Amino acid sequence: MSQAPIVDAYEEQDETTHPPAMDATVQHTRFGGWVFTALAPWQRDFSLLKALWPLLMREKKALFLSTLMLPLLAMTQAAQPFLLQQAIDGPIQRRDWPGLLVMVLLLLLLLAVAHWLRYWQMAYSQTMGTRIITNLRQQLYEHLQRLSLRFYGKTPLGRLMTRLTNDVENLSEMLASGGISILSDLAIIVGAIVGMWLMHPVLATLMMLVLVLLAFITQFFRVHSRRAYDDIRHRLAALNTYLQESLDGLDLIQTTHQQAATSQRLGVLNQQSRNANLRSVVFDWSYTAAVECLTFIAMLLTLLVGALTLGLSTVEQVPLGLAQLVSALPALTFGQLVAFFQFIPMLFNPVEDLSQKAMVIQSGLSSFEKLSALLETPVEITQSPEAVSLPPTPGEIRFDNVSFYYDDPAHPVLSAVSFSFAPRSDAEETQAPQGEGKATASMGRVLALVGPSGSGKTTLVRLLNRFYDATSGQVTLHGHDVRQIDLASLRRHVIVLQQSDWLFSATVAENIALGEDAPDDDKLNRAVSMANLQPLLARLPQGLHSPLLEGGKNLSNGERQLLLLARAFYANPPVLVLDEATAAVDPATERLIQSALQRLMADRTTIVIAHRLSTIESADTILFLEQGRVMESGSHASLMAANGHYARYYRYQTEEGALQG
Amino acid sequence: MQAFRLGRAPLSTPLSTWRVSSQKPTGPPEQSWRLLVTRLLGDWHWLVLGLLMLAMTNVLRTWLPLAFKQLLESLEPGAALVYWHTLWQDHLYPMLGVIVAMLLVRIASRMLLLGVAHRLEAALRQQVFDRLLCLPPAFYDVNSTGEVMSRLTNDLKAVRFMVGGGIMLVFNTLFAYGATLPAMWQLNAPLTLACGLLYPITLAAIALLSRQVKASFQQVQALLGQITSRIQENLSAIHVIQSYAIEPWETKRFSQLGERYFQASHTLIHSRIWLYLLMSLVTGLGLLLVLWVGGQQALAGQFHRTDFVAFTLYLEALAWPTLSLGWAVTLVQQGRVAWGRVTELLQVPVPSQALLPIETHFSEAMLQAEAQGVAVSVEKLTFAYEPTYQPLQPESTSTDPEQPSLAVLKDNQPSRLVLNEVSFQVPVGSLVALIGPVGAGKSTLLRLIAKRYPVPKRSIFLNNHDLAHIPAADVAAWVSLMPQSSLLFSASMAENLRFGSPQVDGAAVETMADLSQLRADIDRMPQQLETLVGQRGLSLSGGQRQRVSLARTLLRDSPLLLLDDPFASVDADTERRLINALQQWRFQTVRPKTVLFASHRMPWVHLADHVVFLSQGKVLAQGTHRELLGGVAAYRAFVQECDHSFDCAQDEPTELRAVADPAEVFSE
Repeated sequence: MSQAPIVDAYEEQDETTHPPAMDATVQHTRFGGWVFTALAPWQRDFSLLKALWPLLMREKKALFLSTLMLPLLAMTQAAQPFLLQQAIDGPIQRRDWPGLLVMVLLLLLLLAVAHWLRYWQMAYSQTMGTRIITNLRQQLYEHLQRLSLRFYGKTPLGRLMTRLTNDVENLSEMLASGGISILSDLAIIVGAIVGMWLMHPVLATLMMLVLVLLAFITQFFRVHSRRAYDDIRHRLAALNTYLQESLDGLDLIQTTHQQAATSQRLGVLNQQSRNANLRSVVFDWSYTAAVECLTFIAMLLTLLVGALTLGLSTVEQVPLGLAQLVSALPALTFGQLVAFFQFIPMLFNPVEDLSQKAMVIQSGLSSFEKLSALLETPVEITQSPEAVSLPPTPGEIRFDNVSFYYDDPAHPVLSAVSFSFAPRSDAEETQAPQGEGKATASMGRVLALVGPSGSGKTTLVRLLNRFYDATSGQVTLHGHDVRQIDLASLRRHVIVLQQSDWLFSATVAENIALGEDAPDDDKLNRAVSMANLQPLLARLPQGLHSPLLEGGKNLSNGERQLLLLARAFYANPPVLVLDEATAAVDPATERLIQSALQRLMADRTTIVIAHRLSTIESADTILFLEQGRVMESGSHASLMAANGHYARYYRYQTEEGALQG
Repeated sequence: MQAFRLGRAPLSTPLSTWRVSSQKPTGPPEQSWRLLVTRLLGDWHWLVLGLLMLAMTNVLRTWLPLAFKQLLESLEPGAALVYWHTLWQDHLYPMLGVIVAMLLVRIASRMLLLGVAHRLEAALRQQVFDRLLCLPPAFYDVNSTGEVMSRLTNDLKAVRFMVGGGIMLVFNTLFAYGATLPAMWQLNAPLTLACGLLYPITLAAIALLSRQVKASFQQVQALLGQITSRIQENLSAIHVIQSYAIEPWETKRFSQLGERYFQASHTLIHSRIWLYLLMSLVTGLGLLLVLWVGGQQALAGQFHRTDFVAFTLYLEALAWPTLSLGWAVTLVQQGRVAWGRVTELLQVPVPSQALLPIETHFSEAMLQAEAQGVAVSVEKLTFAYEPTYQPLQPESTSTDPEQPSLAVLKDNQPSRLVLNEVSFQVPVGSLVALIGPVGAGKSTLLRLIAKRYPVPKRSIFLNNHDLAHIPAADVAAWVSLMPQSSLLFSASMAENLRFGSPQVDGAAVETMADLSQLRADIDRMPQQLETLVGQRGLSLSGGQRQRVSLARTLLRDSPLLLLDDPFASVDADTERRLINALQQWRFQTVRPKTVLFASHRMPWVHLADHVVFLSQGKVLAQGTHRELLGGVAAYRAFVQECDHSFDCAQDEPTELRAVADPAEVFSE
């Protein structure tokens, strides 16, 4: 296999984009160009920060305290060199022992206060960050519970997982190591500048010039290092995707004997990723070393100014202009020189720190952008304020001219479906105008939905329990429009049982009594016995309280089915929807399942998405669907007698088997 | 084919048994450290050079404060007159030179050392991956790829940080101390002693604290893992949750977990802050000592004021190395845990055959089979899936007592016989169907013939050779297995088709694409055969994927084809055309093809020369389709059951995958 196209394929998956503003603004006038370049990304960041604000405001106290401490912290930091200068120029110069003691005690006090402040500032801001993340995650989780199947149908689960893990993690990192600590870096820079100005304004100005130079260097490296990081990200994505795919396809690799080729390809991707990493190492460390270098240059400048003002008398042949300039300067004292040496790292280190955090912040903000988009996904299935609750008995189910489409009205999943289905038979006449997509079903207990796959059977059921809302027409239950029914009440009223239903990593009891912390023992035991679940419980070491693995991995197929039936028995819904697909179980278990099912269907309305001929034949009413329309309805006998779509379909299915037999 | 190398490390010594010894590896044993050291020593010249340069930068850095002091001394009142240009020559130029040299040497040292770490990571990844490639399916039955992936990515990264960041920082700190402390000593011994005493005390405190940090870090990580799996479970089960209206219960459970995470994080945050403060306190106290001890000496006239400059600069030089030590300790600790998890993978025993350089033997028998075809004989084959591998230790076992143990539950289930005394013959060039309900053991049987699991002795014979003795690599050349799930790689269509037979030419690919009824599909694609299929081939329909998989299998041109439900996702019309094309191909090829297929779809079955009817691991009956229909009631019932259910082989909707899409995760 060639390598290039595959890497491209991975890179296509990458949805992260950088603000295009960067390129656009370079076109601006050359004069102001770099200003725009520098500011453009920040505009977007600013609007995101505004979005972050409500989350921050939930932590007012911590935010207030930790921000309040910042100027104090900066002051205690900047005061240390000051004290040193005072000590050297004062007591030590004057040989004043008590004075020195005072200075030392003051410094001790200052250190204690500084560290005390630092401790609380860090504790407040980092705890706040964790709190915000915990809240945000909870908020996202709750929001996701309310989103409809339409959303889940369109959104790959992988992407949602990425949002809730990686993106939350990125934001968390931003808040922990970026966030407030950026403010603290800025505060220290300001503190150092103020300290320098108070001490020696001219030298302070000189230092500011070096700082500007540093800013330019930082900007230069930031642009390049971002490019290098983008490259790393792409290479790493390609590498990791390849690893994942190879592990997923290992069976294929081994049976087709491609281990060597697979290993070699990894070697190539590995090398590409490594080289990209090494390139960025050069940038990263060049920058760090450049900051160190600049620090010493700044010290050298200070030293020179100090040397000239201190020792002007001992240096001969100083260029004339310089000599005049220096003589006009206020002399630098020795203490000030030492203090400046303390100030300089205080000024430059935070800048380096900031440039590293800029990356964390960028990635955190772009993650936050995606998270807030997720949070703003509208909740489609909403509840009306005057919603009613349903009585715990089966009621009439009625579809009035119901249509439904996902995205494109030209491709309806259901069109103009009308029927009604009442729980108790009052011997109503069947009127089934043929082929008009309109039918009135007779009353009965079992309603079978029959039709080829893709005919809209499952969708029809999902309109009943409001997994979707009809795009037109009305679905009523017990005489209420389903949109006027309390959502939880509706969902508990109509329960859909699928053999692929999920078993949670909780105990057996918790899986049966879903959503109840203290399930009723009698009810539990009845559900267990009704669902023929005793053999499973006998096998499990802790009976009802045995933990299940995620997805019920430690159960057999049949046991899973029985457990799902027990869950339905416990929930005891007036309307049960059964998605009857043939399960892969042994005949003995199949019999257990069938007898449990019979009991389950006994005293409620059951809607079966039917696959077995036996179920269909014994249903009270059959709705025959094709391409989203109800083609026919009635009992098996009446439909066969009518000799229409259903009869043809039925005969086709049975005959094909006979032909081949 | 090129030999497949498993790395030269001592760990890849072949282990003769399949079965994992009962003792679980707890943490990285000594032997595994030797592997790391060996790997590192392989790069010793870069390592040594990098360390030398690191030492050099520290020495240069130590020289600067002295130079500053000398410059200041030469300008003290009362010193001899100096000229402006000699000032530059003697002091300023050398200083500038040293500063620039320091810059360059530091960059070089970092590049060398981090380069070693990156190379190490890549080499280890290769080594682990090569081993993973050799592990049999039994290993992956008990271990999720997610678990393996996290070791291949996150853990290897942590190992790289340990070597690159951790070790470099530790050495940097050592060198900084080594260069600075003697210089300080020379300048002023008592003051150096006072300052020097600070460090051991602080280091002891740091060691204590960092243990606490490690413990709470692990706890936080374990909780984070739980949160992730809770989210994953919730999203996979969203249908059930909404159907039973238990959203409030779910959010409550989640908030409890969130609260536990918050509490654990809280502990971690506080112990981390203490660590940080302790280290920054050292520098502050150093300054205090300079002022106190130095100040007193200055009062006594023993401490020159220029010494203040030098000393404060020295303390400044020690500040970062001291601060970074805490970081280094964290990196090393996380790296150690990660290394343990990586070596656990490296210690998973590999079946002895797979460990040999994988080269096909092309023995006499092989060549014969190529020309004359392969006959399969299955004789009293009994098989149960034995748990040959133990699951890797999940990250959270030690810290999370609430997680139910898989082992406890598994032990209660006796290993069920999947195949029980199965016997049948497949003559050269014949078409044999395996028929039976789901769970009858058809797939297992096919996988055993492809030697995907250890084959019991004297039960399967290929051309009268006991399969148990045929090297797996040879089997791979004889046999093509088309698995039930059709997996595509994110590569071009052509690459996907040629996967498994890279040597075939374009014409053969075209022919097989035609045969597999892919022509129309390929023509509709934007770049035909060069079209890239997305992640896992999800841009194609299930039927298309299955046909690609079929074409891929046929392209390998092996004498024995094992097809596991090859038409499951294909519609009836295409199925008929496929069967016609396949039949034609089978009779047209020069070398006889033996085909064994499993299915519960009927159209192909009546063409089979022989039908083996399996149920619950036993052969219920065998013979031709017609014979069985006539004589075996159970078979007739099964065939009818299959045909009578309307959606017997219904296209299952693509299941939502709970695992995060790798490209999604990794690209961000």
